[in-house]
Amino acid sequence: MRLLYVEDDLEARSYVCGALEETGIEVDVAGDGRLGLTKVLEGDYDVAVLDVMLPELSGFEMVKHLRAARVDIPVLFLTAQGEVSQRIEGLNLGADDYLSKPFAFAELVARIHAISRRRIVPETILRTANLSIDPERRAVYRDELRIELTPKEFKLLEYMMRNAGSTVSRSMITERVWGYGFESYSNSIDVHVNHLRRKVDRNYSPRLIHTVKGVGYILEDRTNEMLATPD
Amino acid sequence: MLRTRSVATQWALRYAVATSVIVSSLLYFHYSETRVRIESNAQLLLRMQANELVGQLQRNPDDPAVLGRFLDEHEAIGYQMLRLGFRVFDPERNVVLERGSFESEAIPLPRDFPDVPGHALVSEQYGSLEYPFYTMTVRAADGGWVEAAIYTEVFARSAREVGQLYALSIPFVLLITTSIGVALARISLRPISQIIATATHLSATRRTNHLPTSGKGDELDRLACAFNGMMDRLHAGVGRMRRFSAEVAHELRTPVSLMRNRIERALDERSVPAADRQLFEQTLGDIDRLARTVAAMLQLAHSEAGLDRAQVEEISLRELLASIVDFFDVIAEEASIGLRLHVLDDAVVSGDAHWLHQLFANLVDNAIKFSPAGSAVDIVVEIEHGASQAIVSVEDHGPGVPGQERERIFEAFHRLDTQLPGSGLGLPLAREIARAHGGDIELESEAGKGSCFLVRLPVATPQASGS
Repeated sequence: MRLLYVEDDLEARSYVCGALEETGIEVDVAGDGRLGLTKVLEGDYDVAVLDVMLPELSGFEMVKHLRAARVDIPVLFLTAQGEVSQRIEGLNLGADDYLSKPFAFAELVARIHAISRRRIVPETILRTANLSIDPERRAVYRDELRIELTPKEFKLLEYMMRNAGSTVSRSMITERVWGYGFESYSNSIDVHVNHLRRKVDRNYSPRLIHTVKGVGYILEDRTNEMLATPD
Repeated sequence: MLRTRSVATQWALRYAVATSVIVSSLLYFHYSETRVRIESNAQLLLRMQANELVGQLQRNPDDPAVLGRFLDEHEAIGYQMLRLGFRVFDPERNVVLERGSFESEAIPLPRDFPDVPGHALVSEQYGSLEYPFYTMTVRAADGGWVEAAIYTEVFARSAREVGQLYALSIPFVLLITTSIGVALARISLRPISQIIATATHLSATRRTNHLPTSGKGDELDRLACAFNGMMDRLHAGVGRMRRFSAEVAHELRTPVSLMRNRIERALDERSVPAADRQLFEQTLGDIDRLARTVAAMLQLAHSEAGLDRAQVEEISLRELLASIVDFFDVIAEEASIGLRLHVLDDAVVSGDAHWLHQLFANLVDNAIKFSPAGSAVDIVVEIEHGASQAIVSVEDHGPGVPGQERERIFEAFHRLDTQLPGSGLGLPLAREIARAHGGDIELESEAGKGSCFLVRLPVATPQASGS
């Protein structure tokens, strides 16, 4: 994956670049909005990560230009201003996601992966190993056996299935499954995931829902890895 | 009871007291003046009569009936009200004639006269009664003396009657002046009552913050202007404080973000010793807590600034709370707490969905946090009977909030239990959000029995009932 990261703070830039490159993302950088815009328009990037407060051209203005030029690149905003209205303004302008500083690198990586795959046409039936769901009929099957889920559990599972193979953070789940990014100190998401696990994962093989420490969860088939490095 | 509560009453009382003092002093002055005049008139009269008698005695030196005739003449011309009495002496100080017109009333002529020509006010005692006289001694033409007396009871009585009349009139004066005072105070204070009414209304609506002025430039206009000026300065001050708080939060984010990045990068190094790793991870936890506090501060600063009109939509409280319950029911279940939603009326409010979610999430989160296992948290949505307010109550059966803490828990960074996770900004934020929506939050709590948070929000379109 090729990513353009536009940020004027040198130190922040070096840390974020390092962290992203470690996960195998190829990162190109720009120090101001104008240079960043030129690079996106000329280069071939899969994702753009933009700081909102940039010299020359703000992140918001960059997105306006990009969308006006019909450049459809997924955009994630990073900002020190975590206000809801700003977040909504950013999303309305055509950004795909919005992350407030400070953030965990894993959260950033998870969100980058989520937006980079957003344009994949949804399949009618989603399938990972022997777990499959049919979003239209709201049906879940494991080993061809139908499992009953509550609407919320189904929505959670569907979200994880659509992001199968990528980490989804707790805040991403709150935002996407519940629709609101309210701050909560409770471990509600963990409990919801555990309920889901109990119904669709615990008594089956292979195990598909995995915890990513300090970030969130990932739904993937690790059969081959497990054979290579047993837990 | 009347006192002190109303400026109008105070003014009226002061006015009445002042007026009464002035009127009473005037009356008293008038009374004493009247008395003095009456006395001097009596003195003048007596002197005239005495001189007249002396003249008559001189003209008829050896007529013993002259005194009787003199007095009879007096009575004939209607001077009987003046009780006069005379005693005539020869030069050897022997009484020649003696008669008083008051003798008919068995009042004798007084004995006490000035020895030399002059006059005096005397009071003769006969039996148990006092009789006031004005006495005078004059020289007769033949070298003898004439003692003249006038019974002054009638003058004293009229002076007394005037005094009594005046004294009696004082309560009426008081009554009248008090009524006038009350009326005047009411009239002059009416604009103040209007200012009070407007000011009370202003603080509730928050938006417009100016009192109307009449343009007359009088004291009340100046008061309204001063008040408006104060409101402006206050508003500006609060605005500066909010901006400052938002700026501080914003300025904190960048360094906190860098700190987090640095530590996370350091942790990525495989060579970090286990002990350092633990230290780093603890620091990361602290940074995240700091970041959440900063985020909540920002949110608080922005909710205090009021609603963003662009984000306002009609929101069903039933749907909103159902989604909150949907989010929290699993943790309630884990802790063996019943989380129940009772929608008595589905109220639709107009507001910012994100903020209202945050408000109720904070309350429900709190309620679950403080609930003992096996208890229930009840959320009730209803519309206040016959009113345009929706009430959402979130009730737990936890330890409750002691009386002195009840207002303070809405203050920023005030926490009941510092062991439990939280920023100390959840309830202040909830209150600011409710207020930004034109509502408020109250806490009803009894120590040991639980707490009930009541959120009042104005209803957008009142509906009869949700199914």
